[in-house]
Amino acid sequence: MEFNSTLVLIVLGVYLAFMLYLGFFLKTALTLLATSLLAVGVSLGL
Amino acid sequence: MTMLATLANAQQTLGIAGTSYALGISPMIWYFILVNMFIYPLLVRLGSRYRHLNFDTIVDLGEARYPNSARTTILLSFWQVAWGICSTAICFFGGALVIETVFGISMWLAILIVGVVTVFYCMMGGLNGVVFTDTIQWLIIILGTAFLVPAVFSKFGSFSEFFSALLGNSGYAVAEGANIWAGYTDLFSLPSFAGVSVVSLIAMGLAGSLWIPIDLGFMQRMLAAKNPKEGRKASMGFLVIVTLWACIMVGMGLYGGQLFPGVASTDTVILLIANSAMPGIGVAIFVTAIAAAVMSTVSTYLNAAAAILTKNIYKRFIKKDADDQHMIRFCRLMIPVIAIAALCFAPTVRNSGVFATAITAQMVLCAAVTPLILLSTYWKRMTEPAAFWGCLISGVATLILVFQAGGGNAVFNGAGIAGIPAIFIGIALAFAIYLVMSLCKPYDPESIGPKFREIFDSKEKPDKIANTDLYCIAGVIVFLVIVILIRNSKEVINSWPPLFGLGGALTDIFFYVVAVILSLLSIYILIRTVRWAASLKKNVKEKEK
Repeated sequence: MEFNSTLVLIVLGVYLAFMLYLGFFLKTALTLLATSLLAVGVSLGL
Repeated sequence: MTMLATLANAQQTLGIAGTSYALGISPMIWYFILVNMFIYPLLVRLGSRYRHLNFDTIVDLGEARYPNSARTTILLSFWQVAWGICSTAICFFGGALVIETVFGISMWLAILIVGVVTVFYCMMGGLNGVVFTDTIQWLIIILGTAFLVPAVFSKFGSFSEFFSALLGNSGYAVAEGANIWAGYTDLFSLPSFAGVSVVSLIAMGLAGSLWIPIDLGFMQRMLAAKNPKEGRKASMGFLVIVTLWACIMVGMGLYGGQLFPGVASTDTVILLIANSAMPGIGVAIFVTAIAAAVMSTVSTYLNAAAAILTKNIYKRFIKKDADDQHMIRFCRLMIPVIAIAALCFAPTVRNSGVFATAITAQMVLCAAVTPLILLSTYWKRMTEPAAFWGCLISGVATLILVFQAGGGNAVFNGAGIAGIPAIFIGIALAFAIYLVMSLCKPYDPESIGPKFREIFDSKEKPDKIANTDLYCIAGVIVFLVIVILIRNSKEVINSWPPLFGLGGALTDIFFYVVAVILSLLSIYILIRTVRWAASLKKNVKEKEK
């Protein structure tokens, strides 16, 4: 069965970025934005 | 909430649907009914005593009960860490299976990716972070599965429509082209062709509940409640929510039986259902839900197992003068070490599937450790030599028994000796060793730690719990026996839950209602957690001022 792996990767990446942001004890929203954008960028690049 | 997140692991998210796909509706539903009946009384009583004695793990219990026994501490630490490794391996495999299925990469690479990401996440997290992230993770898991109900019903037809077209209104008239068997959706029809019987279900139920006193993550989270009353409420809420959630997973697994016959790795069925019913963003969220479940559970087990190795082994036997900073560093070092052990074990989970592997590991642990915990906690005659040798011999004997019976799948379906499931034999052997060895020695109060001696000597137990729950459970058992007897006496048998008429409509409504209730509950808990996090932040700021 075919999966839309790019979309899965993007959502997973944003989720991981969010968890990372929380893991650093709820720091700044900028960290969240930066890591999420990075995750989406990496996902699209792959 | 954190209790829910711990239980919403790969075993549950992938295994329930996979097992229902392969065995029909009855094994998993009866399993949850039995587990609820066994778990609740155990959880509230042991939790209450653990709280009173102020310890978190069974190693703490061993040290408090047998204060001078280094060997018992080491043995109990071994079992707890082994259970942590096993649970982590199951989660690694579950996460890797999802990655392998979605991205088409090799299992080893997938396991490595899951391992690296979760270990990094685990090493970065703190206690406050864990409570908050667990809430988010559970919310994603619940919403991901709750959305499956309307998506699957609208695409393939409601539960009653879909299965009555395949199995007739009775659930026993198999139509041409059906890939499922008569009674597939009948709660009262056990798949005896797969070796599932009443006895094997009770064995599964015991294995699925007697691990409660052993489970480091779970007990720690129950004890984290504000007070015993809150702890009991949390336990009840947890059992109700998990059971309702499991009903959805079972229902979705059943759809897979017809839609995806012959799937090699049955644990992937829920993914295939999600992808066919809500392709695109829906399945992406669902995959993220599984990743959330894996990360939440792995972080719990890795942290707890590393803490035991640090506190109960390293600090006690190797570096007695280690300060807090030193112990934190050692604990962080232990996290990847335990993770590597779990990574090596993870690929073997494929042989039996995630659910059967977990149940098999629980059977060995339950036989070796649960009788020890119960007797040490409630029986003053239990001695240290009996505790050590009983735990060692019964653990090894049950492990051998499991391998001899045919391993994970065989034992999961109740295999043992002469039709007696391995877990019954293991538990009976353990009790026999503990009781005989303890009674051979005269009672010596000095051998018991002071905390336990105080409880054993007091006439009014400080952690006494009313037996209302036991009466309720007895009532439920009587009710179920009557229902089964009435049903077996009927000449014409229709499957239950019903597939036609008003009953069929109620079956469909049940799934919708469960999905809505779970979603609303999760959102409510999220709001409470956000408020809690905000108050925490406020407190920190006030302290800084």
